Amino acid sequence: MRESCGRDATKFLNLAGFGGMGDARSGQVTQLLEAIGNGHQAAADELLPLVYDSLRSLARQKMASEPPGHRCQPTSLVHEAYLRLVGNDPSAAHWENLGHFYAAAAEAMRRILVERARQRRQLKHGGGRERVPLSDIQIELDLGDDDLLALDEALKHLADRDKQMYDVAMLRYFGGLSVDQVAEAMATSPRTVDRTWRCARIRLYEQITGSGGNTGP
Amino acid sequence: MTDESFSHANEILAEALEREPHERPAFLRDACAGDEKLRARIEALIALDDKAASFLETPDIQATIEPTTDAHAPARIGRYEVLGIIASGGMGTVYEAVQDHPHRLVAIKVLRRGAASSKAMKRFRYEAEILGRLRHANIAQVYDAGSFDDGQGAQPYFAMELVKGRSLIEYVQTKGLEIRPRLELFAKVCDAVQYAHHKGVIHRDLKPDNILVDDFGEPKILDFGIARATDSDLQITTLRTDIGQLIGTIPYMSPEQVTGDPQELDMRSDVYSLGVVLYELMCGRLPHDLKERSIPEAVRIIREVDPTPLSSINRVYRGDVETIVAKALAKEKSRRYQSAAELATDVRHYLNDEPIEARPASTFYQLRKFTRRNRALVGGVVVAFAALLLGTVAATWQAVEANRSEKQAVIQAEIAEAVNDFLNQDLLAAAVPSVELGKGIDVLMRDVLDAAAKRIDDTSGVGGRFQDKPLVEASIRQTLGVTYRRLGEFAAAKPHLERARLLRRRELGEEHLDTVGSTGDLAVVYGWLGRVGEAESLHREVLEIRTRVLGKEHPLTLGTMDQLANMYWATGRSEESDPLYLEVLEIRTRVLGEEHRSTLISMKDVARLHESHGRHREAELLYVKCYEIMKRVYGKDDPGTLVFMTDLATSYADLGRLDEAEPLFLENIETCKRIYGAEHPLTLWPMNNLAYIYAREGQYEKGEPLARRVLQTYREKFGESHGYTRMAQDTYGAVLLAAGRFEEAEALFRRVIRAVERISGESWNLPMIRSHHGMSLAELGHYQEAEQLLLRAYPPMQYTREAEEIIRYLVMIYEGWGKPEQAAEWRAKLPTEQDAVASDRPADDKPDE
Repeated sequence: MRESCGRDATKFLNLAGFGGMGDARSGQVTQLLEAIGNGHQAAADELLPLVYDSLRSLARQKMASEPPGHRCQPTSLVHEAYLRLVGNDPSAAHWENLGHFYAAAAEAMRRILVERARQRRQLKHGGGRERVPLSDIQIELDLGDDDLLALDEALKHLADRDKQMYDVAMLRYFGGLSVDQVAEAMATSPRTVDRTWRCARIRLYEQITGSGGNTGP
Repeated sequence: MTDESFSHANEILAEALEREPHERPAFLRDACAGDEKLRARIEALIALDDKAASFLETPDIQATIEPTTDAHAPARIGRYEVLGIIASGGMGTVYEAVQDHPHRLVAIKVLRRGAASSKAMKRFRYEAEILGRLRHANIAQVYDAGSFDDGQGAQPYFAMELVKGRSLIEYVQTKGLEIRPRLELFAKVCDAVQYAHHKGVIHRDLKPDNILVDDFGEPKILDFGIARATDSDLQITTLRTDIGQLIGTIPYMSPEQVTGDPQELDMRSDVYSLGVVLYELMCGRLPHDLKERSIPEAVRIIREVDPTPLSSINRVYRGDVETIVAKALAKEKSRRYQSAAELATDVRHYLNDEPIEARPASTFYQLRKFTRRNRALVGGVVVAFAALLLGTVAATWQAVEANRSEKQAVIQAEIAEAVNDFLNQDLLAAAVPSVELGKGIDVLMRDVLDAAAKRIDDTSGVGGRFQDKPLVEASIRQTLGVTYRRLGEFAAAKPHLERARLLRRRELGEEHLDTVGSTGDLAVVYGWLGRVGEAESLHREVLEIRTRVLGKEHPLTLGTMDQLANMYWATGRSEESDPLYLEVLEIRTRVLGEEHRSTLISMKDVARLHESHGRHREAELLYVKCYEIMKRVYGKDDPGTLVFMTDLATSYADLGRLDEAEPLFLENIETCKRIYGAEHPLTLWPMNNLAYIYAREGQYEKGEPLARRVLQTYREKFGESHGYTRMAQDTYGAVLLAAGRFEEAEALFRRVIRAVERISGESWNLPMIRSHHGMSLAELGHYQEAEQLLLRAYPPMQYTREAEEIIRYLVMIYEGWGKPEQAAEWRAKLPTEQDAVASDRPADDKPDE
């Protein structure tokens, strides 16, 4: 005996928002996020270049569409990259995936900024032009180039000493996540994130400036 | 310095930072326990806190982008002489310029978007021309469009009316306008938007910054259609605009607009934006506070969260204004005002103290809103609820409509209220804890239904809340019953459908269509429960009434014919089922066309009919045909498509094409599992078939675990005596047979046959089970009983793939008995190489019984 199939298909709506706005890499990114979530750390290495490219091309696009002298915030780029790469994929909205994504984005953003700061410094030292070529990316931090490069070094140092501090600092600073968002991404409490961030900030500052009588733990 | 000491120091540091400065010394003394070096170190670190904070301040996501002054303002743009810069922002720069002929001041908007392609330019000009045709006192006129080269490639620009004024919100606030003049101003804005819509132009970016009010109090809408005209690639509209601007714009964007699908955008998207503007005009706030949100969060909120009702911000707006705003802000386009004119009309109705068109959200709408609100929370469960809830309300509504009386309005209200209570208190209250426990969707549905069923049982007796609302109770019971049935929970469905039928018979009469509907649903459940006799008589009753009242071509009548035919077929009465199947297919093809779901189901039934008569080629063609149509029209995850897939795979296997059958089965099972869960009938059916096919092909290692799982699940869900359980037992027996476990197989087949014969007399799969039983007996050397069974099974099985096996066993028996003539006679029936597989046999090649 069978029952005739009178049951209508249930269509699940796209909950993640911005459906149709992602680019072709969207599916790939989601898969990589899934893979990272399942413990395949190698996937993180594959994810990074994708996010990195996306951030760069977004920044270029902005450069082309904004008035000269315009600055665009790195964190807003990260959000845009998110929308573009995974925004239309509901499964990507899972917080674990978001966490992995933001970690990759923060790392990519850091590399972009560092690369750019190095370039500029070279130009300056080369004594040639004052302005960076148009094709370069106009993203700005409140930090100067030298400070940024010092921060980069300090982060490397921190990564070796305290992974959690490093993660929080990356997500907060380069990922542009709020305390609550970091907490969600790291599956911990906002209070812990807040504490950790405050310490990390001091440690980084100390490392960069050599202040604080840097002679103990 | 070890990492441990580093962590230790950090812990103390963190603790210290959380304390007030004056508490820190005491804390550090305790925490460092005499380690003065550590204490000094931490104090030094604490001293860095402020500097570190300002040094590494997290870049602010919300930072607005400051308009920069472009030092390189061109002296001329096209034929306009540039006087200065008015504004510079994400979309480009606006210049104040002067035109010679006619002599007037204009605003020139230059769009910075890199070098535009000639194609994009062409489109830009075309759009500009359309915009030029908008002439309305309250719309800033576009005079001209063109491009100029500033050394960075061609830059498109618009020359438009220069409007000097303040943004709408700023204007009403500085003027301190009362509600009434605000609404009058707003209605004017709506008129202008309506005018543009009438000309086919959607604004796409309505917000107070784009609505300026001049010194005479006249509103002017800026940038009409600019968003579209400047976009060569609509897909990335939102991405291309500056993020700062996007954040400024998002609160005014409609749900369909934030979804980013340009196809979804229409005039009603502007209506939504107008709704946001109205909301802001009324209470000075945005409907959603998105300031602290990331973009994905903002998008989700716009799509799912209802705004704070106006009246909860200011009681003044309780009633009409709130209702108007809510209607403009409806998430679904179809629920909004369908045009800006309708919105303006209602605003003016309100101003004139006339009744407004908009109605506060109905119960029906509330339900849908509830499901939308909670979709994120409970995902699929709530989507499934939606069907349940809507079913209840619709059914209730029909009952009321059919039962017209002077008290109709009262009944309607009662029903709405009762249904609402039921949903909120019973169904949804039950959902929440289950969701929190993180249970699977099936379990959730079950839990929720069980809780609801218990509640209704507890409260439907004398003195209960449904005591004087039997139709409401009937509707809810009907819905519960049908939902249980869809979940495959037939025993649970039965009492609710019985009660629904009883109540409707009493209240509406025997022949009322609702009563008949309940009867039909109950008949299906009886059939699934193996109570064939009762099912048949109920189906007949339904068919008789529906044919008489609705006519033979009515879908409901045809549905009953279908059910009845299935009944007959399932009980092995193909001479009764076949003509019904053919008739239903004929009528449906004629009335509904080939792509209709119901027609496709009939087509599949007829394919099976061909198959049972040995017309394998015709059967296969039909199976393929209806599967392909189903997949194309309804999608590959549709339950109908999945059922057809099972049938097609089975048909391939029956034709001996295992290479095609197996992957199709596996895909089928995977999809069904993913969508319906591992225990759903849709999933079990292909699992059973595949297990049987493995057994038939001798691959019992593959078949055994599958068959065991199917049998176990059927037993648990359907009970021992259900036809499906019997079928699964047969499949399991076939596996045992293939594995050479003949005693177990024999005993199992014997038990099954006895049980089936006792309950339903005959069944579509009894011949098959008999043949299997015969084979197991033959293997055990019980030739006499084996011969009887195989001979009895052969005629109805002669066109199936099993026929050959039956013949081989008979040959074996006769040879074993030393009856070479009979053995030869049967051996002659064995197919030759050529017609072994997929042979087309004549339709009239009937078995001699």
